[in-house]
Amino acid sequence: MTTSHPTPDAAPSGDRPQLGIAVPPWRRAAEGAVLGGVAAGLAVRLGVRISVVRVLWLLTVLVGGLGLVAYMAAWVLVVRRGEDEAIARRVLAEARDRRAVGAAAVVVGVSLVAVAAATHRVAVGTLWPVLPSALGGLLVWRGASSEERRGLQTSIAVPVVRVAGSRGWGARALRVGVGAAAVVVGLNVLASSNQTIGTRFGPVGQSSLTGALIGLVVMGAGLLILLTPWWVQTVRELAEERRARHRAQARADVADHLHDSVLQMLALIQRSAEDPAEVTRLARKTERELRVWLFGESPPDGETFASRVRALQREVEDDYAVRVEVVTVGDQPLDEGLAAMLGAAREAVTNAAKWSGAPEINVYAEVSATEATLYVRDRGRGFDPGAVGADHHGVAHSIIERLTRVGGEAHVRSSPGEGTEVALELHRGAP
Amino acid sequence: MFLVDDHELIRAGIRAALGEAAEIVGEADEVDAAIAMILERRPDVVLLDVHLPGGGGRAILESVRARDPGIAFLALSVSDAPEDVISLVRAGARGYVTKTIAAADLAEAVRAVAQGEVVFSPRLAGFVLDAFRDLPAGTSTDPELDSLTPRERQVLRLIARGFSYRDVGVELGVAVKTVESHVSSVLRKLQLSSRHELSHWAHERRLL
Repeated sequence: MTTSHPTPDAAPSGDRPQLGIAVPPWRRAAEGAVLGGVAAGLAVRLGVRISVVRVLWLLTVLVGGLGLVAYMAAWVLVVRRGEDEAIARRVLAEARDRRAVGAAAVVVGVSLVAVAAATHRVAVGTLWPVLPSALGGLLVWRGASSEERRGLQTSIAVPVVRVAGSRGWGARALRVGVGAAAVVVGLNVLASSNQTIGTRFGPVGQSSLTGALIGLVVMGAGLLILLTPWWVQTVRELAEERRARHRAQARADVADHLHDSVLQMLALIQRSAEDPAEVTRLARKTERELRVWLFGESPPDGETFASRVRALQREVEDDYAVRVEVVTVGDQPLDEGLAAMLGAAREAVTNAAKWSGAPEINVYAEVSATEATLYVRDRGRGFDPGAVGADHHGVAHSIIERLTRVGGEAHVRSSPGEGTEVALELHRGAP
Repeated sequence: MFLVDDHELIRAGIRAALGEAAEIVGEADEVDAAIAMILERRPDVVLLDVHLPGGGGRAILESVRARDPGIAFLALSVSDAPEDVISLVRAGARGYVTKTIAAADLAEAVRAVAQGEVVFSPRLAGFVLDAFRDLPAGTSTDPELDSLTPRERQVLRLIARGFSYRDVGVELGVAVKTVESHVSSVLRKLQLSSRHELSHWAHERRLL
C-alpha cells in the first residue's frame, strides 16, 4: 500500500510497462476496473497479470482483513488514470466534505476505542478493518470524479438494481435465497454470541461482542435484500400514482377551460341563434381564445407592435361581425411612431368593418428597425376617393393626419365594387 | 381527390363545401389506412389534415411521396402555428390552407394544386417572409436557395396583404403565370433551403 501522493503523470503511458521509460507511476485503471481499479493499476505498475494481483489481494482480505483496508486506502490515495488529483485530496479541498469526513473519522475512531475499552485489548480480527474501510467508502462516495462515478454505476449499481428490481423468477429466487440465508446466519451468530455474553460476567469477551455486531450486520443485510424489492415496488407505485394524479389534474384543467370558454360560448350561441352576426362574433371570439390557449400564441396584452395588431384584430372582431385576418412579419417594441400607426390602422380596419360589407378584412403588417408598413384591405363595395368629402369616413383626419404627424405616409386606394386598401408607411429613425 | 381527416364532421363539411367542384375518391381517418388507400386509388390531390392520431399528416405525406411522388398534397389545419405550416410544406405539400377557408376558396385551392400550382395563404406568405428576413451577409451556404429575390418578396407581400394571384398579376403588371412561377420558386426554396429559421422550426418538431 502506498501513502504518497503520486504526482500527475507526464510520461506517456499505455496499459503495459514501456521500454525506455522509467517505471510508470502507479495509477488506478480507468478501464477494466471492478471497483476502484486498484488491482488493475497495480498489475500495470508491476508488469504482472491482473488475475495474480486480484487473487493475492483477495487472500489478504480474507486473512485478517488487511487487504481491505489497503485496498480502500489505495482507492482513495492513488490517482485515477486520466485524472490529476487523488480522491482524498479532492475531498480535503472541499470544506463541506472535509467536515463530513472528519465527523465520520471521529465516529470510527471512537467506535474502535470503545470496542478496545470494552474488550481490554486493541480490537483485531474481523471488526477493525471494516470501519476504516467504511470511512474509505465515504471518501470515495464524496470525492470520486463524475466519470468514475459513472463507471461505478455501471459496474455495481446497475447489476444490483437489475437483480433487486427484476420480477423474473430466477432473480426473485436468488434474492429470497440470499436474503433468507443471511438472516438465518445472522440470527445464529447473534444467538451464539448472546449465549456467550449471558454466561459470563465481567468484561465482555471480544469475540462475543464482534460476533454480535457481525450477526447484526449480516441479518440487516439479509433483511435489506429481502425487503428492497418490495420497497422499490412501493416507490415505483407512488411515482406512478403521482403521474396519474398529474394527468388527472391536466384533464381537469382542460375540462375547466373548455367549460369556461367553449361550453359557455356554445350556450350563448344557442340563445342568439336568430342573430347570425352575433353567432359569428361569438364563434370567432371563442376560436381566438382557444387558439391562444392551445398554440400559445403570444398573449394579446404585450407591448410590442405585433401583439398590438392582434389586440386590434380582437377588438374589431368583437365589435363587428367580420373576420380580420392578420399576418405580421417581424416585431418591434412600441414607440410613438408605431403607436400612431396603430391608431391609424384601427381607424382603417373599423371603417372597413363598418362600411365595406366584406365578410373578411386582411391586415398585413411588416416592421423592422428602420421601416414599418401596414396594409388594411377589404374586397367590399369600395368607394370613389375623388367623390368623398375631405372629412368623410374620418379618412383625412384620423388616418392620414396621424401618420404625417410622425413622418409617415398613408394612401387610400379604392374603387366602387373592387374594395379598398389603406396603405400605411413609416420610415423609422435609428433604433 | 382524397380526403384525410379524423373528424367525421369536418369531412362532411368539406364534402359539402366542395360539392361538384371535386370528385372525392376516398376518405380516411387514420394514418395507415390513408397510406394504403391513397396508394391504391391514386388521387390527383390529397387534402390532408395536419393533426392526425398516429404520426400526423406528415407521416402520410412522407410515405406516400416516397412511393408515388406524382400525388399532390394540400395541407389543411386549424393550426396556424408556423412550425406546422413549415414542416408540412418542407415535407412536400404544395400548399396550406386553414379550416376556416371559404368554400369557394377551398375548391379553387384544390383545383390549383391538382394542376400543379402552389397555394399560398396570406399566413404562409407571412411565415416565409418572416423566415427569410434579414439574413446577415456571408452566413449562408447557398445564397441562391437561402434568400428571396426582390420580386419574390414583392409577390409574397401582396399575397400576405390578401391579394389573389390574379390581383398580384394586375398589381405588378405581369401575367398570372409569372406570378405562379415566382410562387413555385419560393416553394422550392422553402423546401430545399437550409436556412437556420427553417431548420430550427423543423428541429423543434424533431424532424431532422
